[in-house]
Formats: sequence, structure tokens, C-alpha cells
Amino acid sequence: MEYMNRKVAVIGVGNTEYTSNRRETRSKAELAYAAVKGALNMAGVGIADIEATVFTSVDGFEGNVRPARVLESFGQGLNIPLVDVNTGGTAGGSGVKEAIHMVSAGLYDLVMVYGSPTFQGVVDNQQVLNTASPPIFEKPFGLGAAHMGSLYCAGYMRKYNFTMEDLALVSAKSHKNAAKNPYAHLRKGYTLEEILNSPMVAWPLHMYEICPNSSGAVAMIFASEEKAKSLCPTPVWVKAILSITDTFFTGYRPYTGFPQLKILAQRVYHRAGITNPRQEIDVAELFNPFGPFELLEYEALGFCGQGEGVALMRSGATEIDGDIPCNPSGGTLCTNSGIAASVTRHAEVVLQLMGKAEGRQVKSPKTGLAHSWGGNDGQFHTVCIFSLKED
Amino acid sequence: MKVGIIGYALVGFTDEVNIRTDELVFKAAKAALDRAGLTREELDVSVITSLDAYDGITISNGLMAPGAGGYEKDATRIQGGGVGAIMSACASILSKSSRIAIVAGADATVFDDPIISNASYDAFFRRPLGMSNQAGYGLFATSLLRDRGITEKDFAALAARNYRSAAQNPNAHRKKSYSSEEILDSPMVYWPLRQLELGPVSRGGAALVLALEEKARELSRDPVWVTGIGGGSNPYYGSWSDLVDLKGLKHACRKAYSMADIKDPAAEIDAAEIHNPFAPFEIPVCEALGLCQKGQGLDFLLEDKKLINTSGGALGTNPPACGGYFRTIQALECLKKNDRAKRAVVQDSDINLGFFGETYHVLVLEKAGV
Amino acid sequence: MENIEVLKKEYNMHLDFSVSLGPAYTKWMMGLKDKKLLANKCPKCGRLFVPAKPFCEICFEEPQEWIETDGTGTVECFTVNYGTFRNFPDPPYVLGIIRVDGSAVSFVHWVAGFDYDNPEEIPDKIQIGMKVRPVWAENRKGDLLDIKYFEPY
Repeated sequence: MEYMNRKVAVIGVGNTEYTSNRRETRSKAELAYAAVKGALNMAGVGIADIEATVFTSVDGFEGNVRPARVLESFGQGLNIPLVDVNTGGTAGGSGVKEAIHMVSAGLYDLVMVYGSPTFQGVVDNQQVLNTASPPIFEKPFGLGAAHMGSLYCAGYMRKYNFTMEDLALVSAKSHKNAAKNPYAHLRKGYTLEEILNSPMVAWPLHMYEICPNSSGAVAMIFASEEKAKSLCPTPVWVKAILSITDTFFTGYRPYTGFPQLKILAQRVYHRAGITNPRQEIDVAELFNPFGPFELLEYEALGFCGQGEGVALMRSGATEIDGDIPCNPSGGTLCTNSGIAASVTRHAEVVLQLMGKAEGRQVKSPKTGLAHSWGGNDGQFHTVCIFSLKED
Repeated sequence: MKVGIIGYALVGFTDEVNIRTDELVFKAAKAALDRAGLTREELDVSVITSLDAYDGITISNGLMAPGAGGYEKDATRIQGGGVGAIMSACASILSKSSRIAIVAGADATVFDDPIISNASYDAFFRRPLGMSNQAGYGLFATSLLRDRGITEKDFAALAARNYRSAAQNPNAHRKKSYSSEEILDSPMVYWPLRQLELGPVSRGGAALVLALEEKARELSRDPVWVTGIGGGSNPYYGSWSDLVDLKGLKHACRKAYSMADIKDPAAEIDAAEIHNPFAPFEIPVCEALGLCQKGQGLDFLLEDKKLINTSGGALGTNPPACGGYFRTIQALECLKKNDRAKRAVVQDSDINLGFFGETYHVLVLEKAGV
Repeated sequence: MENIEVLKKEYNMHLDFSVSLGPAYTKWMMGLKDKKLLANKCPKCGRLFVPAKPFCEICFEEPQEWIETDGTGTVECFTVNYGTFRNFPDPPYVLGIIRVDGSAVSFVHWVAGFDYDNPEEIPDKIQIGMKVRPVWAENRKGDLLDIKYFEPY
């Protein structure tokens, strides 16, 4: 294995149900406990067996500097190391990567990753997202999350002369899938018509093409080969994971696609031995807090050619029963618990491969791809490939 | 398999810097790469340590990432101290994901230290009471005073020792030496700790270049090996006596020493850099690190027979986020300057934010071919 | 745990920060005071930067040379805000990705100076690649808001 020292597998996932931050009555600590307990139960281990915890969140969105310190579900009572990874929206991907490295390196055999539900206490989200905007150069302009998303959708739409309906189709798919996902937040199943009739927030995005703020948490347990084989009937093996970095300023991005993701995908596919992603990937969870992002991601990940994202969507290939199902969970568009959402992309792929994706199960997937996006207007991406195949 | 450190650089450390964080990180990273004889292209991963609240930007690693050499590369950011970031880079290398890594960081922004520290406590049980980093140091110091019979004069003697070392360290922030009397005369901040017994907020940047063993041997005549590294934490709502006993640090230590195959730290370790943002903290830390027997810490330090905090410690230089890099670099310099010193230990933590829920890291360094 | 109506508590954080911009950013900002859009240049790859950069992230070198551009550029992308958000300008407003001619990179600013009366029609009035130029504020102090907005011409 050229890029891994030891094999690493996921043996447990814990999920809470998601709801809106306004309706949430569970405290942050209770959510943490529920997700962690769920993961431990599935893995068949206790908290005392965990050797290190990777905590992922974005402080600026949490109302607490270093929230990991004040939450107690992660084994601090047993004094285990608490690794605090914060890379913005990709913190989930980065946190998963950290855990994988720790196990692959031979430093630890059982590592837990916990994704904090972000924005939980925040009263005004756009303003809070604006705190991530480059100060002095971009912050004064009222550039919030919705605008970071709409810039990409505007550029993509104009470049290929797509209509708003072309773009909205993919959000309708997400909403339809989420309606069947017992863990999703928005389960109304908005139709194409309802989406196009919802208020325009930041051109060209309508309200139902933009994610909600969800409350809920997720935890995953990564294990060495020996532990995985002794504990888990269907360990899900990690084939490769990497991230990529762009410049800091919003102004430096080309808004017609995700070129950094394209470069990243090539590197990850090389490490995972994938030569034809469209054929070899059986399920993908792609980061789509803004529905149309999924189209840009199809292209960057090589599921179709440049400018062909809409055609791929229209072909039905990315539906749950298609040949490359994308976001069968409904994706981030329907459940956005902040950083937990970027861990969730990995958790969902694992659940799919384990055959445990209640209500949203894709038929017999063997290899899956999890993507996360984040930082100031998509400065970072991560891609991870999971597989049931050990070698 | 081990990891070698093949280059490093410091920029600063002072009261204030006149450039922005991104440029400061760039200067440190570029200098470290130059010393390692490498170009940015040859890096596989860039690991940053920083904290949003210290930088005044949410996802502050975004501002630093290109300066840390990370453009179009794999990268991450670890909150909670420089040695934590070094651990991440080591994991990336030992997992074979990377062969060459850079760890970088910079403290440039001016912020209100007690307010940021207070904001790291939960909003309901501790924050409203004015809990902060220095308040926690005061609590800990009271334990040393009342439970162990260490005196305020002892505190001052330890601080004076650090200032003497800092005065001789061209890299230190505070270079002025103070006598025990001057220290005891300085204003009381959080009883029983006085102003001169508390570390400053130091601004500057630092970077280190790490490589897989075979690459390190290829690239450097004298790499220093990371032979052990470990982390540990204390619970937020835990027992006071466990906290004072530094259980989290001991956990980190066990891991690092077991990896480095150290069985008798007092004999096998020649130098240590300790994160002591309040002077008397050196005592329990030396004891927890096994550098001396429990109960003997004060005498051990005042005897000055081992190379402990020759940099001047955190009383001399205390960068809020990248202090762990500073201390690691000082340990490397110490090993370089002292022929007979073979092994050094670096102890780092995030207690610049304060106690409760804190994380400790321990790093063991070994000179090649001794 | 029995069914209990949970307490909801509110709090806020007010945090102040101060940064030094350093010579490169400072020189660029002071150019705005003089109604100039300056650019600096990477000595290795030759890329020009508006706004100026203290270092080139690809070549990892510090730009030394500065030139004065005429400030005209194009709209590379845009979005129109219709939502009302606290502390943000009142809708509608247009956020543009502006690239000054010759620069390798773009930046964020407002696009205005044309009819905003029918908000739904605003997107139709903006083309990707549209030429724009800065409209300067009366009182300038070395800040990005020394430019009031970019107007099409």
C-alpha cells in the first residue's frame, strides 16, 4: 500500500435525528452523548476502549471558543487526547483524515471522530458566516453564506446558459430523497415547482435551494485492521483521503466550476486505484449546502464532462436507483448541522456500504465517495473513498 | 519508522508585529524551507496551528494556509498548540500519506487576552464568574502553596531563574532579568501570583520542516528525530485533585515515552522545554514528566543541573497559539549547543486559554548518531 | 429523565481585534486614497495582483515591483441579494467579482450606478464580462470603501 502504512476501517456510526436550531431542546452535551453512544454501541466498544478523540467544529460559529474543552463525552474523563480540528466547512473531512492518519500511522488503534452541530446557538447566521469572510477586504460588503453559494451558481448558470429550472432539478432530487430519510431535517419533499416559487434570496438561488440550519450530531469510530476484524462483521475500509487548499480571498475563485476539486479528485483516485469513477463508484455523498453545487461536483469528480452536470442530472443516473446515486440522504441541502454535516457525508457513505441506510438504501454499493467543501467560499475540499473491498 | 526535523525558523517574538498574519507565516515558512534546502513544490502537506479567536477571523487557517506553503496542497489546522500540529504532521508522514511536511503558525493579531480566555469557558457555569486563564493559574498556585508548602518566595526564585535564562536567549521576547525581590514587589494579579510570575503575550511566527526517515537522512546532515509523541486531556467538570495531579499530562507522557522507549526519564532525558505561563507550574510538570521524584520538583529546578527551560520558558516567551513550535525550536537549539545532550522533551498545552478541559502534548526529540 | 420544559438562555460575545496590515497591503490601501488602483508583480511568474499581495502563494516569493493600473475592469461573476440580514446593507444590492484589467486575481465589491428600481430585473442588466470602472467616495482614508462601487460603462 503505497499511501497507507496500516489498513483503517470504520466500525461504528452514531447519528441523532435532526431538527431546526429553534426547535431544539437537547443541549449540546446531550447531542454529543447521543451520537457518541450510538457509535460505541454499533462498534461494540465502550468509551474506555477509545484511545483518542478527534473533535471537529468551527469555533466562530459556536458561541464558545474551543467548545471541545467544555463538552465531556469524548473520554476526557479517561484523559485521552482530544485533537481539535477546525478547517471550516471541511472540518469533518479533515477530522476524518486526522483519525485515519492516527490509526494508519500505528499511533492508535481505536479513534473516534465527533462532528459538533454548529450554529446551534447562533441567532443570525448570515452575520456569523460573515465572520469567516476576509476582514478588511471582503467583510464590509455584506457577503454572507448565501452569497458565497450564489456566486458559484450564477457563474455556472451564465457560462453554460442554463435556466433556473435546470439548476433547481437537483434540489428537487435532494428534497425527495430526504423525505425518506428518518434522520434528515427537512422532510417536506419540495417539488420543482415549489422550489421555483419559493422566494429568491441571492440570485439565482431560491430559498429551497439553500440549506437550513439543523441541529443534530454524528460520531464515527475508526479502527485498525486487527480491531476491525475482531469487532465488526462489515468493516468499511478507507482507500484514500486527501484535502486541497485554494487562496483565501473570495475574489480569487473562478465561479464556473470547482477546479481545485478536480485536481484533488485526480489525486485521490490515483491513490485509491480508481480509473473510471463513473463506473467504479457506487454511491456518493457530495457537499451541497446550495443545491446546484452538486452539478459542479459531478463535473469536477469526473462523473461527467465539463458543462454536462445538468444533462447527467436529467438522465436519472444520480437518482437513488441510478447507476451513480448522489446524495441519497438528501445531502447537506436538507440537513445542515454545520460541521457535523461534513462528517455526515462520510457517515452516510459508511452506512450505505454497511447496508444500514434506513429508508435511503442504495442497492448493494461496494465503493463510495464522501466529499466536503468549506473555508471562505470553498477554499478547501476533501475527498474520501471507502470500500467493502479490503485490498 | 521515525520522523526527522530537517529545518526550522522563528520570526519575532515581540510585543507587536507590523505585518499581517499571512505575511508573518510566509516569512517563517519560507525561512524554514530555505534552511531545509527545499522548495514549496516539494511539500506534501502543510499543517497549521492557530485559533480563530486569537486571529480575529473565523476559519483563520484560511488566511494562513497559502503563507504556510499550502496552496493546492493537502493541509489541515489543529487548534490546541504547536506540538499538537507536529503530532498531526508526524501522523501524516508515518501513515505514508506524506513524505515531507511543514508545520507553521503565527501570532500577529492584537486581542484582549482575558476576554478571549473567558470566552473559552461555557456560558453558564464558568464564564459569568469571570473565569479566565490567569484565574485558573491562581487557583493552581494556591494548591501548591496550601497543599504542598511551597512558598511565594519559591515562586519568585523560579521566575528569576527563567528570566536569567531568557536574558541570554536572543530568541526570547522578554530579555530583562529580574531579581526575586523585584518579582515579589510586582503587583498581585490573581493571588498568590504576581505580575512578573505570569507569562506575556508574545507575537511572532515559526515553522518547522519534517520528513520521513529516509528522506530526512537524504536531505539533512544532522536531522533530529521525533522518537515519541503523545497527547492527553483533563475533563472540564472533573475533580480538582485530578487536575492538580496533571493526569492529562501524565497520560500524554506515558504514550510519548513508550513510543520513545524511555524507561527512566530522569536519567535518559537531558533537556526539557516546559510550557509554564505561571512560574511555579514548572514544579508539577517536571514531576509529571518524571524528570525528578514527586515532591522534589522545587529542589530539582533550583539545583539547575539539567537543561530545563534554557529558553527562559513561557515567562520569557509565550506566543498564544504557536508557542509549541517556539519551545520545540528552542529544544532543538539546546540539543545543538550542548554536545552531551542527547534527548530533549517538549511539553506543550493549550492552557493559554486556561485550565479545565485542557489538552497536553509531549514530544521526545533525539539527536542522530549520538 | 421525566418530561421537563427546558430553559432557554441567551448570551452574546463582543470581541475587538486590531491588526497591522504590513507594507504591501498598506501601500495598496493608500493608493485608494489617491484614487489609484495599484498592482504589484511577482518577480518569478510575473503575475500582477490587484489587490496587492505580500507574497505569491505559488512561487513563494515577495513582489517588489509596483505599477499603476487605470482601474477599469470586468465583472467576472455576480449575485444579487434580496434577503434582509442584520448588519448587512438593505436589499437589493449586487455583489460582484471584479477583475481589474491585467490582474491575475479578482476581488469583491459592489456593482451599482444603474437603475435598481425593478429589483427582479437587476440580474438581466448584468453580464459576465461587463466592463466596469470605480466610482470614488468623497472622503477617502485608505480603505476598500474609498471606492463607493463599480459602475458599468
